[in-house]
Amino acid sequence: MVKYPLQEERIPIRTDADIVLARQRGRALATELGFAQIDRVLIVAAISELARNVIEYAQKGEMVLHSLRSANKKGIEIIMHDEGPGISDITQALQDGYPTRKYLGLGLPGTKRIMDEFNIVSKVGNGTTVTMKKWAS
Amino acid sequence: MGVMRTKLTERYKNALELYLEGGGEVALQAAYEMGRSAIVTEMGSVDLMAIHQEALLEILRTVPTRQDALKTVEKSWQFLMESLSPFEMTVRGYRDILNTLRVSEERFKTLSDTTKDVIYSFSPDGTIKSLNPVFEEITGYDRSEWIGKSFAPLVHPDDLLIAQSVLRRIMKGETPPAFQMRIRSKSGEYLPAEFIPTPQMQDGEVVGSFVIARDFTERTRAQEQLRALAKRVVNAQEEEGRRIARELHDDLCQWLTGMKLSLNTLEDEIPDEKTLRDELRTMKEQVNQRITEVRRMSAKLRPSTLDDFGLSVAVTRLCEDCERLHRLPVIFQTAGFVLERYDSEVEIALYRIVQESLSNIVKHSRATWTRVRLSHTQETLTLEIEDNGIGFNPEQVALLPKTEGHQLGLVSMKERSILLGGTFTIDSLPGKGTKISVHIPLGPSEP
Repeated sequence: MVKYPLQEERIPIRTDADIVLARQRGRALATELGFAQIDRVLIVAAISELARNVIEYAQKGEMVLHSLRSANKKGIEIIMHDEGPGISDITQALQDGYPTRKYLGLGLPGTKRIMDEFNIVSKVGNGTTVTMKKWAS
Repeated sequence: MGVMRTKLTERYKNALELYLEGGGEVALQAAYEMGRSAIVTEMGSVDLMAIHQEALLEILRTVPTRQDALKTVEKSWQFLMESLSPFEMTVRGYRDILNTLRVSEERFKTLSDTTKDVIYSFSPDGTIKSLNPVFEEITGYDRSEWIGKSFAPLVHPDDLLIAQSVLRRIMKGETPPAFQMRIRSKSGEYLPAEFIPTPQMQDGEVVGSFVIARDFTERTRAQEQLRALAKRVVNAQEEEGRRIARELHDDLCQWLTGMKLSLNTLEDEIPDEKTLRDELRTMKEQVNQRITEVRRMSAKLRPSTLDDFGLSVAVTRLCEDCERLHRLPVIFQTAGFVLERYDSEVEIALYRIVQESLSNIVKHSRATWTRVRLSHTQETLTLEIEDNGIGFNPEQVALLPKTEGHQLGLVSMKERSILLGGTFTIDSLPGKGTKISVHIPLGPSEP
């Protein structure tokens, strides 16, 4: 799998306006890579969710966009990174429902569901990095 | 909900208008946020679509041409998709959860159906919510007769108070310990069982209780037998300890008596110095022997003769000692193929029984003749002790207070026999003598 370094984009995440920009750039890349409309919508939703988390818990962070190319398909890689407090219990954070989440599905678990690959690395005091990928069918 | 919805509709319309006027990603982001708000305020996606429809229709009123209208509708579709995208995350979540729930329910059903315990659940007011198939097997009732009905009529009236207090505790969210209760079966018979309840929680509230019930009848019997047996073993052990002490004491007493007699004889006969010295030496040897014997006995808690020479020889010695010390003719007989050695448990038990019996005969029977008989036939070892004494009423003896020595002795002899899987009987009538019979089964593996 080869990443195209030229197509790496870094977008700082600090304000709501940054979220708008991140969505925009993500949507643009997804369109470029040939994603169907529905998938584009989901990619942008995922960016929104993660960016919101960054602002809410870490105040600031960064999103990195990569385009991916595998044997016969193209994909998008989104890395959302922050230097925030970190997550103490990742398993719990990835679980739906009561009591941490009254409304099922949003946040990390929901984001995981709409992407093809999802990886989270987080340590208390050391920040959080979420890496997710989606492949264009 | 009404106020929120009105506000949301207003917001939605404004954002949609913005988008249609070229608001771009800012407007789409707003759409997304509104979708999220809808979820958080527990609105459904249909609600949001209705809101979209309302907003769109209002906007279309101000659109001049039909073509523009079509363009507007098409473009607004993008906006709608964005506002619904959060729902996609939750819908997939529901699917995951439904799946997990289905698997979990199936697992529970399998457990519930194949377990040998009764598993049931009831609601806070005591109504039975579910019963597993085992309930039918155990009680004879059909499940349909009890589901939806109160649990109370199934409970033994004396146990109803316990059941109710447990119910109260469960409804407070406690997990009370297991308790016993009797349940009515279809035939009217009451079945004891052990109940293990757990509160059923939902959203932090107790919505009922799950209970596992184990049929107690078998266990009760087995446990009671076990307890009784354990008690007997402890009694036997205590008794053994006491008798060892008594035996040691008796041994010493006998010996001291013997010594006393020897000393008396010595006094009477006033032998010369040499004879005196010889006598003293003999006595010293006997003392040492006795001390060694006592030490060995207390160390091993078994008479050394028994260990060294086996049952027959040890019993012979007992009889001889008894005859010599108490001037009571004691005949020792063996019949069948009495072995030299038996299992040490058997040997010590029978030895003690002979010892105790002889002691009783000497103390109480005023007999002039005693016979001890050991026979080994067809995998049973039989011990019989007969005397021609005054006899006694075994039942009367059983009524005597436990502080009377002979009662304890009889009970212990019986205990020992039973522990070996054997039988112990006393045939006695006042004036007709006494016969004690002990039968010990020996396994086929005995040589």
